Amino acid sequence: MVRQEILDRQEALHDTPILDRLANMREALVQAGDEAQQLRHMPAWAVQEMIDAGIYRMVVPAELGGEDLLAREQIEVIEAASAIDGSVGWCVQINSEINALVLRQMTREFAHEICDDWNYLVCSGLGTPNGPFPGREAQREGDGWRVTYQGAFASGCHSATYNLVLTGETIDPITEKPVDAAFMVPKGEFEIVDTWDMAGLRGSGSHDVRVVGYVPPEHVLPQAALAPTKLWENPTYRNPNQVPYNKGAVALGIARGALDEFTTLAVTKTPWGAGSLLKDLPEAPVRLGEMEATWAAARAFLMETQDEIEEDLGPLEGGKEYPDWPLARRGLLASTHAAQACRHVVDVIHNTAGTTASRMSHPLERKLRDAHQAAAHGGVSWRHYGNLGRTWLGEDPPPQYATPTRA
Amino acid sequence: MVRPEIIERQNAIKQTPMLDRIAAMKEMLLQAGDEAQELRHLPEWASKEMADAGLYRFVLPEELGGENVNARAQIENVEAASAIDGSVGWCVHINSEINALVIRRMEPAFAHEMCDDWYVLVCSGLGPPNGPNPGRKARRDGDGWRLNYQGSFASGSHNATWNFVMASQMTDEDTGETPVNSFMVPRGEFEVVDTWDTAGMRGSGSHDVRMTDCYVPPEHTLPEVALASSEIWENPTYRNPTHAVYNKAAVALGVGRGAIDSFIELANVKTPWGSGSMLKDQPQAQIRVGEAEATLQAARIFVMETQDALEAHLGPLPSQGGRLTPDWEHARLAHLACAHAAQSVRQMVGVLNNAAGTTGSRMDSPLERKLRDAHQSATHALISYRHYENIGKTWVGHDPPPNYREPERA
Repeated sequence: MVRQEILDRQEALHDTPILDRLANMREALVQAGDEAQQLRHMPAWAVQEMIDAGIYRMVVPAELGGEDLLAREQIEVIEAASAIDGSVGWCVQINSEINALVLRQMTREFAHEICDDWNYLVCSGLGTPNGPFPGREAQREGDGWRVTYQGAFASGCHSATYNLVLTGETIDPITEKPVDAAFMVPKGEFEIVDTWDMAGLRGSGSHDVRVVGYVPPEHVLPQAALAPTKLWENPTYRNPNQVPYNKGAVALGIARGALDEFTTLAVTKTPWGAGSLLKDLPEAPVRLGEMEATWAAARAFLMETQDEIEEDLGPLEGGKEYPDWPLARRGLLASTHAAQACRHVVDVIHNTAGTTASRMSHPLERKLRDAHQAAAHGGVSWRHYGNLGRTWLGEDPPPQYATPTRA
Repeated sequence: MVRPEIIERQNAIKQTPMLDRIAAMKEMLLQAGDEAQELRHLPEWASKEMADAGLYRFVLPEELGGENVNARAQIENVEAASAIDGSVGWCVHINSEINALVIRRMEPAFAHEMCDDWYVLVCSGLGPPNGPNPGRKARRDGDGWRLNYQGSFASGSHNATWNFVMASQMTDEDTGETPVNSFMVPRGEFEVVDTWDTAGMRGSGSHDVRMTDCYVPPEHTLPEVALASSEIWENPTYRNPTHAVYNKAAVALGVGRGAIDSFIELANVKTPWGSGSMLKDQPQAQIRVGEAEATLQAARIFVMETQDALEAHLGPLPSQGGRLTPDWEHARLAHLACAHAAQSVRQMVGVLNNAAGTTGSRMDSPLERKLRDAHQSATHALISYRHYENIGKTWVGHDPPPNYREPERA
């Protein structure tokens, strides 16, 4: 069981609303973001500060020492962190998300054990491995499994206490079929392979992780590890949109930060040869106004669809396991739209700022890279417009929209 | 006078068309572009090889050892280099351009003297200075002038043999007015100040240049309005008020071309994670590459046609019946086409970078650099989004801003 001191610690945090906690950390998070550009992952001190502020536990159920926030609140927190720094916000979304995702089908006992560590933080390297790798196999060994695996995009891996290897990502060499189990691999039993050298979300530490070792039966999750829960009340644990709306939230935060930076710049910069402040040139207010509207509409669409889905799902007892497809579709569309619209917002704002935005010392430089990277994530990429659009034209929805298949 | 050996050297390299010369240099220019990302300027060896291939001389008149090509050919050259690497293309455009701009009203004797150096390369730091600086002042000193000056955006400064200082950017200490001369300052008498630390066009070396108590002898002075239309050189480029503008558009078009080529190359090898088919077989890749091609080609043809029309309109030198300056209707469309090219390419490269997925963000993917470069070229003040308003208002009764009449910067 999660010890009382973990619950007390979480309870004490609630005296300050989580958005205020984040706002109070602003300077530290700016510094963390800067350091992360060099390290290509979050510095350990910053992760610890975010853990201590309960940021990674915000979706975890209260009985496990979490804050049990709803989708709207999660989005607000991720957005606020991402407005400060994209990579910081990325880690907030993905590690708070995976911390919750892995609980969906986990036994209550293991859930309590895993959350009894205040520094609880789960990463997951699920993507196609980069470079030479040892294969992706799992073979029965006694009651457990012998796993050989490498996967990409394990954001936050440097500070993770566990890595999730998801069902279907390994092959049983005997049966030559995908293994019907997921694995929780603790820190010390996975290795980080340095493969994350990116322009966008550079500081997120989304390297490959490699596992070569034994997974005992108590660390094995069921086949459909991310299917809707029967344990936890919060509808997030049944919402098929949790992964995409989180990415949409990062994009919204980056764009919010870009709009704010532009406003600050526009009242101080006189573009060379323009003869007046940027704010007084006709294109600045026109483009800023249009992009504020684009941003706010995308945000409202995302928020409203998630409110609708949660309402449709209802309580655990007597509620639904899955939302109705038309609602899930709107939620997915809103997530993709948020990411794509925000890329456009940041592109236009960056362009309006002039050469200043390209200077390495200016926040808009990083935000351009980050907005593009967020919009390229497989969960919210432009491709979804087509995938979703086809379902209005008579096609069945692709199966991966029913249950998360990645973080 | 330019020595016969310079003329002969130019004649010899002209046997190979410029675009073939650039194509033959592709591997070398790729390496130069990569090194330039680290150095934040073109490596000296690469700039020398580019000079050897005539990449900075192609607009110069033949009597000065140049190739005297028209706007369309200049754009093709700049575009080809930029498709290989944005910063390389940026230096090709701006240094070939300033080499030509400064001779518009230069005494022919000085033009011959300057171009008698095969490696002639003129930069110009004209933008607002960054950080502490000695001001931007000139004062009379005997027959010459003494300058204290700093200016930004001096692309190619590390390899420049001259720096051009424009009168309009300075104050005459005695009169408080603009000096009556512009100035040419040779290498060794200007200092490069490290201020260019940008994401886009990172390798262009567009640092500040500084002159401290620098004496300029009378033979190195130019008229105050040094870039007004030439009555000396036949090529209409020397009277074209959009010379500095179409060159920037050409860089953008090249970056755009390179992005499409890089995307097609990627689409033929990448299977996006979880998608089950190659990128090239996915409808959204096909749709977006089709739209990108149409956007690029339409923007390119608009630039080319407006420049052809502008040159035809200018005709031969005024002394032979041509025009010194174009009518506004011709200049307007040419300006508009250039801003449109840069803005269209920025948007198109953004879309392709997005369609490429996470690969487009990898530091070793060409699409990563091209995104930065497309954004940077589209923020250059001569082709920035602002021109839509400045030009657009002339269709609804406003006068064109005076700076569209003749180049005020490179």
